[in-house]
Amino acid sequence: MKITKSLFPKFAQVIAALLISLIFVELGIWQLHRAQDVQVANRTLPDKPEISLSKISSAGINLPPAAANRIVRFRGHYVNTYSAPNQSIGAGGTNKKVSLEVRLLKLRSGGAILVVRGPEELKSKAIIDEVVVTGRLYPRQNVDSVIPSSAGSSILSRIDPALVAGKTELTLFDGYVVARTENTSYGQVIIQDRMPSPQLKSKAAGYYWQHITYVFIWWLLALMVLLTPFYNRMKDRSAGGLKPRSTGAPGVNRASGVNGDIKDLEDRVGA
Amino acid sequence: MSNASDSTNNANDSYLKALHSSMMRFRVMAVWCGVMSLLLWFVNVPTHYLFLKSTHHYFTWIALVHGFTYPIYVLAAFFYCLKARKSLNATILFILAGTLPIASFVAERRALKDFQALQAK
Repeated sequence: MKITKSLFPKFAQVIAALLISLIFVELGIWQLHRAQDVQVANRTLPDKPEISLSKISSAGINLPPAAANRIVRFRGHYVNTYSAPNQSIGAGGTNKKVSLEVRLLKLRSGGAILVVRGPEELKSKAIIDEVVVTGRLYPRQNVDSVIPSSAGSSILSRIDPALVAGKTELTLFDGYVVARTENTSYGQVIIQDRMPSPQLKSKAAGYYWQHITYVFIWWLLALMVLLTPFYNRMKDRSAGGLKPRSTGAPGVNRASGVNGDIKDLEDRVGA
Repeated sequence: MSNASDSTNNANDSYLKALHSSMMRFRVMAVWCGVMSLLLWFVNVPTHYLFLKSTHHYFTWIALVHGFTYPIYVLAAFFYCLKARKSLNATILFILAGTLPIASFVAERRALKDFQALQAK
């Protein structure tokens, strides 16, 4: 009975240490996954083959996640022209801000989609014929680049079909396309300054090696927590020449900090 | 009798020497961690979340260096506390001191003061 009583606190200590170290190990694993996420987010994947817009998305529904970043092809007529000022195009590593020419294209297959043709020119081209557009599909923007109240009717504070929904009868596709090529239905190429359309990367916070250091820290702490039930024994052993007395109850003369050390020293030197 | 006293003195000397070296390792790491924590809390984090966000990429190294050197601080603090026979609670506080900008400087001063007090005896 006596043994059970004396063993219980030790047993509880070991269980507590195991639980806490398990939490720390899990936190390390979580950081390891974050590091892997960062690595994946920064990886540039090869583009999938070009696909017809109607095969991967539909008008009137949210953009399917798998459709974002795809190179799409579609044909139709431009019906409205808008300007999206203060948009960053980040060409050549610079974060250049320009006004973009955005047109609403009515698809032959039904519905309409916003197409970013490129930086706005002084005189916008009239494109009456049917065009075949290829470009990268992006999710709608959710941050205004200009103050919405200052934006006129043909100004888009952000490239978001919701902003033009009230101005047209057409059912709109979610997201927008940054055009890479435009051809007339006869195959003629429409010349226009294009803006870069890189793959959109998901933003995973932090840096790979930063997360790896956290993994190391959490696992180191887990190891140290595992050692806590044996801490007093380790302490006695590492004190070297100043071993605690073997007689007497445990903890006697093991006062914390310097006072305990001083007491020990005094006792042993015989001061 | 004098032989026994000599051996005790030798043991005390070697203990003090070992304690001194582990304390010095701890002090170096405490100062280093304190400086890195100050940079982390007052340069890296504000430029990431509060102001001058465009300059943040100049300071990303701070989190990395702090992250890589904090485990060394933890080990230095742990071995110092073992050698100085600190209680478990004091050891935990010494280890946590490396995460706060000023606390590690306080811990460093505390370690020095403790050692000096021990030496004076």
